[in-house]
Amino acid sequence: MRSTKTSLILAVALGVGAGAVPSWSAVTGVSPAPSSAPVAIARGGSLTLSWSVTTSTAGSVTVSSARGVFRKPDGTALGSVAQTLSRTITGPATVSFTETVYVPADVIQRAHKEGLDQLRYERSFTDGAAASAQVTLYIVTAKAAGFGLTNLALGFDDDNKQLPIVERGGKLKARAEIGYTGAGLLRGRWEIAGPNPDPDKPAWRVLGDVVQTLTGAESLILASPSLPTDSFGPHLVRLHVTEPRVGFDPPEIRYVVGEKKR
Amino acid sequence: MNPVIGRDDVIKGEAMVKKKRLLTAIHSAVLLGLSATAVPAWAAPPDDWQPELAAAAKGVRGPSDPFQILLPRLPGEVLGRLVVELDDMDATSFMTREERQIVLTPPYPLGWGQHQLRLVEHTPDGGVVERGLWNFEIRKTAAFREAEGRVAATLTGARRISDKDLPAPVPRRDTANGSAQLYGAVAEGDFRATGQMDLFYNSQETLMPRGIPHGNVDLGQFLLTAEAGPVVARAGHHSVGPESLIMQGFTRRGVSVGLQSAETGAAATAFSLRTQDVIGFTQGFGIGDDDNRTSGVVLSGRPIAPHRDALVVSATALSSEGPSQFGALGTGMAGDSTATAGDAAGIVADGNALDKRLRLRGEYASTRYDFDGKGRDTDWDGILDSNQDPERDKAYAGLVTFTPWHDKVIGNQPFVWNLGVENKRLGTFFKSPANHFGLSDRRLLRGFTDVNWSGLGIQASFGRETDNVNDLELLPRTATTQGVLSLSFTPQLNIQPGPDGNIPPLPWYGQPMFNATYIGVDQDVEKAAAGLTVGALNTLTTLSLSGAFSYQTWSWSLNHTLGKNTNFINMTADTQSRSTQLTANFRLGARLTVGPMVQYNKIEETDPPAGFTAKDSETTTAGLNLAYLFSERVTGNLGVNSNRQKTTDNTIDSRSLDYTGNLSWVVFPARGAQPGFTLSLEGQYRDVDDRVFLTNNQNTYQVFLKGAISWLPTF
Repeated sequence: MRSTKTSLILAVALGVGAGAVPSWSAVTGVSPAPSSAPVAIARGGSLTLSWSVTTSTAGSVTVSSARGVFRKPDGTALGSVAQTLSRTITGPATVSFTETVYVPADVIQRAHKEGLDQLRYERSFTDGAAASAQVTLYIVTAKAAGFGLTNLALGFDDDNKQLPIVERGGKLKARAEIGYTGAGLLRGRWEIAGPNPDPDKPAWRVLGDVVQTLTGAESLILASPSLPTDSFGPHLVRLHVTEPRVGFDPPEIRYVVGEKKR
Repeated sequence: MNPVIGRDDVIKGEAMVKKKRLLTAIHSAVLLGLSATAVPAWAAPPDDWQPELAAAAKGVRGPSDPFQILLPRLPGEVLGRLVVELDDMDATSFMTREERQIVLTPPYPLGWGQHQLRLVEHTPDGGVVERGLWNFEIRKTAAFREAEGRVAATLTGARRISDKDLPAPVPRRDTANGSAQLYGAVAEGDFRATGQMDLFYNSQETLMPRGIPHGNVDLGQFLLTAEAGPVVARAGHHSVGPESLIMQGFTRRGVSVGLQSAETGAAATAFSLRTQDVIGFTQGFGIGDDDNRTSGVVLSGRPIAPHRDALVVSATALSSEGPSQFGALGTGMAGDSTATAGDAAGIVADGNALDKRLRLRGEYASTRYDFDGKGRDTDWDGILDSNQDPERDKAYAGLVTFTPWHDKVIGNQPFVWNLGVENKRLGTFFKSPANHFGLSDRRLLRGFTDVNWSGLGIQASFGRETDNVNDLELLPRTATTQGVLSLSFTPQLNIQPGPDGNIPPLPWYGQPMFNATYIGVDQDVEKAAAGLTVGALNTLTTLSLSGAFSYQTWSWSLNHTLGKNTNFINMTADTQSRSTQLTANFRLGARLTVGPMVQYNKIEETDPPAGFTAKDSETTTAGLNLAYLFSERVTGNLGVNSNRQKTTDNTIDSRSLDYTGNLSWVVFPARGAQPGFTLSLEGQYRDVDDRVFLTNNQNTYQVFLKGAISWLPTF
């Protein structure tokens, strides 16, 4: 806010109008893609957006946005997403940011209860001087909403146990329960790290790919390939979903291989 | 035809034989002028001689303790006619006869609780005389009928003895990890208590389920159960009640107390569970946080007294606060982290008629869901400044299935045919905190059938559903039709044993199993709203073909799936996908097992949304697992995983190759209280070639020497 004010004061002092932002110090344009998207009432969900941000600043410059804000069309805030987008580039240039944002169900619900059929998702980008843009979010039913995941739960075997201790040489599979809106093609892969995974950078290896058409039933259970149990110790498992992108931190689960009971 | 003799008849018969023999003995004694006190040492015992079961040596009788039956001095021929029955099973071959006693060693450890031992004599005239009948209890101690503890613990130390180019920061060279499964049970009379818990240790805190800073030892799932007659209490991770529209897959840490009647089948359970799933040494039994608790009651009954299975009715009511769709770290649940609240109630009736050929199931539920719980901070100033009223809604579901025949046979093959119809109406705002994947906003009518005959299976269903059930003015309405047809065929091979009794080998194609499944979905907008006009929305089709072939020592299968998704409003790219997977499993000799797998996927995108570029992608994943049994104690395993991904827009272009292998030697196997020790040499090799994100590139290996101490005691 203070930077914007400073820029305006400078612009006025220099006799420069708002339509002619000086090329040396400003984000001059922000455009989102898509410019509108349908979101599901009572469900929320993930939405992937691409922001093209143009800066006229010359030289090395950091373009960033600290948060996205959900607003009513009249500008009233409904909620926010504290997810920073930032990149240092050599300007002047246009830089792209892709984010997957989780639109909480209560934010959509709040807009709907006020008699609205849409809300906005707004981001303000700055490199010292700020500019913002908005994506229109139409409120629709879950089936008519964009294809996105609402929640994901991982567990093991049919009873969905967490943290199982499996006997060496035993049989084990992971399972994923997926909630989603819309319809489309789920793409991803089952990955495993371990035994003795690197605690900071687990070396994920691919056990099998997932290509599954999600037909609008709004939830799905997937089983993993058989998991290795030939070596003692902890193993990490995840379902790495590549499409659609998820707006929450994807979970990892773990199992431990122990001695075979005799 | 042999007459049917009941147990009561046998007892009466034995009593008559006993009485007759006693009278005969008295009569003979009188005739011979013999008195009971003047029987010579060598003489036969009286006909009514009785054995005695010696008391257990340790005061209580254990599962494998031998039985000592003391006898009077008996002639050898009498001893040879004695038969001992343990729990109505002839156990004579497990007893040893001596002149004055019989010792019976149980053929298997007897279960805790009441048992029966019986000694009978088969008389030369074909009669049966019961000489002794003892009811006894197998007990652990004088205080508890059953007291048992089991531990399965493994502690592994690992040293990385060689490595190359590991990414920074390089992990510690020496690490340790461990796990323990604890189980205990005690029982006495109609009281029984069990407990089980999993414990974990890792010298690297980051690898613990909850990460830093929660220590190097933590708790996994646990459950304590206590039963006393009709009362059952549980504390720990568990789920309560039958699955329903308002409670499904809701396994959480918490407590529940239930009362059930074995006589009527009625049951009532009150529960209080933590709304957000949690693991580790935190939150105790999970019910201490008012803002994160789901409490309620489940009632069930079988109201038709003469036919208890004919109708089961259950009702559930619950009230909840907390983030129900988002688990704590380590629980594997991710989604909306908003702390919600709500109430839900539902009733389910599930019955059958016409000799179980007709099944009728009906369910009604209502919910009151508060999407933002205590409210939301809309302007990120740390103050909750908006709080919506809860939404109320309701749902019902009905299901009818009918099986025309139970024992229909056509052409000497069983013919099974089922058909059914289901109808659902779930309100737009129907939402229960205890069913985090629960469906809402749909009105569905679906019919389905399946037929099985002579290895041929046909399953078909067709349904139509619409949304915007509450007819909200601002929302659109879509209509979806879905058809599913699945055909499977498993030829029934007529393989008969040869004259030598050996079963001939399977034909060259083994035992095949074929399946073809088609799914077609068509979705249209019926009512326009902001951003949507009336017309086609999506069509999705999937065709999957598979064949699996099994032989005596190996098997293989091939699966090919074609998919086509078209979005008519340019919201997502249209896709065409092809996926092929080949898997096999071979057992070569008695020692080597080989399991290869290869999977190829190609996805083509067209007509992307504005601002996005269409791309085609190809992925190939291959795996190979080898297991070799060098000896009973020495095993070797090798795993190979290869993955190739590429997109035509060059945003992804990577290959990875991973080898993992181990050679394990069980130096001392763990037996009872004696710990075991296993020595392993393990290696991992990784080669990543990423042509887009060069920082992902790796060519590394590491080799570990591991020692694992295992302890599997039982108490």
